[in-house]
Amino acid sequence: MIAFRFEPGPCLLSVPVTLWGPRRSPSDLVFVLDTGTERTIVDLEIASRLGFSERDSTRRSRVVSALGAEEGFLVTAPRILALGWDRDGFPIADHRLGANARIDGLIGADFFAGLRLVIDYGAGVVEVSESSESPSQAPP
Amino acid sequence: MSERMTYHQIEERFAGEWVVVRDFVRDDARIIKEGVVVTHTPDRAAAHRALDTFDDAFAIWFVGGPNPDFCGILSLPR
Repeated sequence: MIAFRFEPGPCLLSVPVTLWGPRRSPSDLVFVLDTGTERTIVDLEIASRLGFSERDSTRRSRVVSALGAEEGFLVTAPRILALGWDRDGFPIADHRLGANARIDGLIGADFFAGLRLVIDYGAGVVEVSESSESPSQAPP
Repeated sequence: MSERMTYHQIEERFAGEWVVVRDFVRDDARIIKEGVVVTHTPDRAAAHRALDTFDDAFAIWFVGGPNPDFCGILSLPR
């Protein structure tokens, strides 16, 4: 199990992320942990600097927020590392994120597939470990 | 500017700004310990443009954390 501390209380959880791109050495970004979205998202401008291009996209992507819908595209990141866990060949949606958000991406629920994520807002701790249940063990 | 600074120096000096850092060193938790500050600016687009001035790995973040008014993505249709 890997644990990270944050300031206790209701807050946005910013997460250091290292992202590998096709054209550049792995670079360090700050994402928000947002399990409310099923897909991990990186800002379009940052994605292009890492060498991701719409030409390499596997398909279009569309996000829906309280403020409307936004078009983007899906690419495969060679590797992404966050909260002590890494994923190889990981699909990431590239979208334009507003500058006012002060972040460059979101870690979505897909990053935690097969993992156990515990967010303790009272103690200010995020814990990530392997899930004791694999999908094949889950009830139908 | 191209000044090598520690993470704490950056956080102290550039509150409310985007910083772009290259040639950085991480600690065991992969948090930036120190690096060369390429630029610091309240303008996010300017920070992104600064990434085009060099080719190696970069680190970029906003000193002060995410906007507390940020509203996450509600859904991403398949």
